[in-house]
Amino acid sequence: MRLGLIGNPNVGKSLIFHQLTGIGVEVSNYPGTTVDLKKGNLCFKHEKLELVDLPGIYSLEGNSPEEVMVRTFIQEKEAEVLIAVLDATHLERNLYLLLQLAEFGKPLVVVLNMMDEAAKQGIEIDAGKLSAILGVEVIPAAAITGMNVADIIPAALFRARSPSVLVPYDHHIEAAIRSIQQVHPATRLQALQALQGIGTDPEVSALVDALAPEIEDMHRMSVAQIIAGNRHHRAETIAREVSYDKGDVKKNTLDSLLTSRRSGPIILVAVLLSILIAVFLIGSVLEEFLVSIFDMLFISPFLALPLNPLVRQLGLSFLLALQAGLGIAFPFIFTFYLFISILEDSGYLTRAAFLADRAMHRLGMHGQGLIPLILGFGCNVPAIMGIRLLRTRRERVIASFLVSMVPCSARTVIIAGIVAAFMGLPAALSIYGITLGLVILTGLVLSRITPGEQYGMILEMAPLRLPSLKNILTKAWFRIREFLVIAMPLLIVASLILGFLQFAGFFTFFQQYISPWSEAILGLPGYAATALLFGILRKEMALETLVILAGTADLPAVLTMGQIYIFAVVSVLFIPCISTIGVLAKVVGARITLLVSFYTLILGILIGALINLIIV
Amino acid sequence: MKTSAREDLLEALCILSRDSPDPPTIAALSWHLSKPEDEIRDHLRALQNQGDLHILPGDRIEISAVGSLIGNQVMKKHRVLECFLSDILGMDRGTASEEACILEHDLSDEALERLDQYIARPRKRWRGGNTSRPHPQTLLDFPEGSELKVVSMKCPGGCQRLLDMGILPGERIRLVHTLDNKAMVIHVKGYDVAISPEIASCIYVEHTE
Repeated sequence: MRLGLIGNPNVGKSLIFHQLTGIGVEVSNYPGTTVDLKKGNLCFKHEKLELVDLPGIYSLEGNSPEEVMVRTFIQEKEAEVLIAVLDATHLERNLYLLLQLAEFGKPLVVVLNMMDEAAKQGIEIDAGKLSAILGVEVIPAAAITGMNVADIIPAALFRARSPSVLVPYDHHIEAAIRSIQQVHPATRLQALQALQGIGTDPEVSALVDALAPEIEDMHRMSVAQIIAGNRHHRAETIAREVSYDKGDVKKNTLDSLLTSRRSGPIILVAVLLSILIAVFLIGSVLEEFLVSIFDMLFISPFLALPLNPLVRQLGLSFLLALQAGLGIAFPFIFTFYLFISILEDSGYLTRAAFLADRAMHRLGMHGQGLIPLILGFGCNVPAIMGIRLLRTRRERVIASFLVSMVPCSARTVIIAGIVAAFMGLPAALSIYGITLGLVILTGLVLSRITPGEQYGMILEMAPLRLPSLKNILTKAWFRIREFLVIAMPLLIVASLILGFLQFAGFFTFFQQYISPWSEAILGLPGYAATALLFGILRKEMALETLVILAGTADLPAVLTMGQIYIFAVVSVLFIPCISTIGVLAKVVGARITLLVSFYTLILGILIGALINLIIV
Repeated sequence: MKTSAREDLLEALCILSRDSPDPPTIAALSWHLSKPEDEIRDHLRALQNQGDLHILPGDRIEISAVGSLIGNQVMKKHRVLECFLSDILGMDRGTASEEACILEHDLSDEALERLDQYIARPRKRWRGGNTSRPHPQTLLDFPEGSELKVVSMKCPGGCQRLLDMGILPGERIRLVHTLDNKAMVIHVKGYDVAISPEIASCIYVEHTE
């Protein structure tokens, strides 16, 4: 049997989900969409149940990918029983979605979450009365303390009912529903959806095309506006009947500080910078520690084994890939995601998006585009996946270019490994400066030449909360899993191919061919260009390959400072790694992926050549 | 039957006959007035006796010259009143239309004529105060902290997300913060929503006390 959790964003759905299912959660795409669906199993009285955490939505009649997905999920009867989670502190808005849900007539129970928070704000809600009005069981709960969470499953299994509450629509809408039903055997729900342009029956659509303008003419409002108005009105009436608000909500001074015109942007920049620096420092320490352990436990013993050369080469490549993924990238990425999860759970991320709206507009996106850009500093792969939350194709195209250029943790490894180590911190920071400058320039240009319309930001500010450690760890773990599941396998395969090529002597062959070009354009020796090329498979591998091909870890002995600097700049800029390219193709299509790869390739070589011209 | 009911029926018949060349059907009339067919049928029979209309076979209705005169007059009164209430006095369109439905039955012909003239040339008659009709204002025109009411919305590509969040005509909102580029946080139904300037520019609002 399958149960579905449904509700608005930020109502504590995920928390309830994790409390009910515990460990062993599976994240997958809903067939035919890019929307994530979390599934978990639980046992109740020896019966195995599957619980699905549907994405948080505002409406069942919208056209965002999440809303369409949840609508299909409910209509296709993919879950036997629905568990609707409402936020007791925002009952009215949450009832709006519930009233829509009621029209689907599916059996459900209602969980009235955040009762503790509501009590703190002086809101009292009569759950019994609410239950009587809605015609379904209402469980007052507080997921954060675990209050009544254990009651949810038994209620859903044995006492779920179809809600009896109805929205009385404007008489013209009701008349139109009847007209549609006379012409065509449709349920009330189907007729309502048809009136809002959902559904494909040509006969019904023709009728709606005739009816809607007349109604809109009489009301001077669109049909969608009338319907939404009626629902909000009903939600408001119900909320007023069952809840009692003792006092005004106190104005949150912290919030007003965070989003004000003067202090907001300063705090935002300070927060982002300190996160980047903290990740840089903590990541470096962890990396050193993990790499030395890895060397001691795996690589040295492996090299001591008597093996034939091919097996040794491939085995070493495999171990190096593991070391790179778990020892080098992991510390940076995990630390980074920990901080991002804190930002997200505390509700600051939505404020950051708001504050960045102006700057992001210049780059052809809006505030929400900041989130994938920030995620890109961890690993480009999940950041590109995050692009999906942008609404128009234009914004997704621009974001895919910019995110692919953001220096991810693997590129940070190169910057830290050779530039900071041999040339000092200012030189390392200048590479960040160049890269971010180019990101901004690219955005400015793209925002002018990319076709398509721009649709602005409509973003609910998540309430400011003190994040709980357990939630942050869970969230960071889910993010890092995307990296482990998607990027790691590619990394290992790429590393094995590289090992094989090295064994087959491909490097020497390639080096001879590329040497004249690379020396003329970039002023780099042939082996450095070879190393750059293999950076495509894995960014930080450019550094390893360079060390292997140069035959020494003491690079200043064989390369000038200028060459080291150029090497770092080019490897940071040019072509995203193969994992990023793979995800790009999935999210924005092959054409844009090719464009992004080509653009960054040209840009990397161009900037490298430019620096070469200036400093030589 | 009451005069107002008679006038409403004749007005509806005029609107329907204007829209299509065929005489309107009882079903169409019932839909337009949102009243059950049986009730309409009773009223129609009474009006046929007064000579306002003829019920043709096939449930179609033909309006007589007298009926048409009355119907058109009421229709005009409705339009003039609605226009006055919404465009000049700034009432919400929907409310203005409802109000016009009530007032139209008691408006004298002279008052109608004078109102009509006034609407055509409002500036000449307006002495003293603000001479032009207030320009519709959007969220962009108000400073932080304003208490506002949504008047209407015109979003390219629909405003479903705004509607779902409770931002719709008649709703009271508070402008919490604005940035330099007029991106803003608005408070609606107990929570905060951040919107871009291009979204704010299609939400028409007015001050509330």
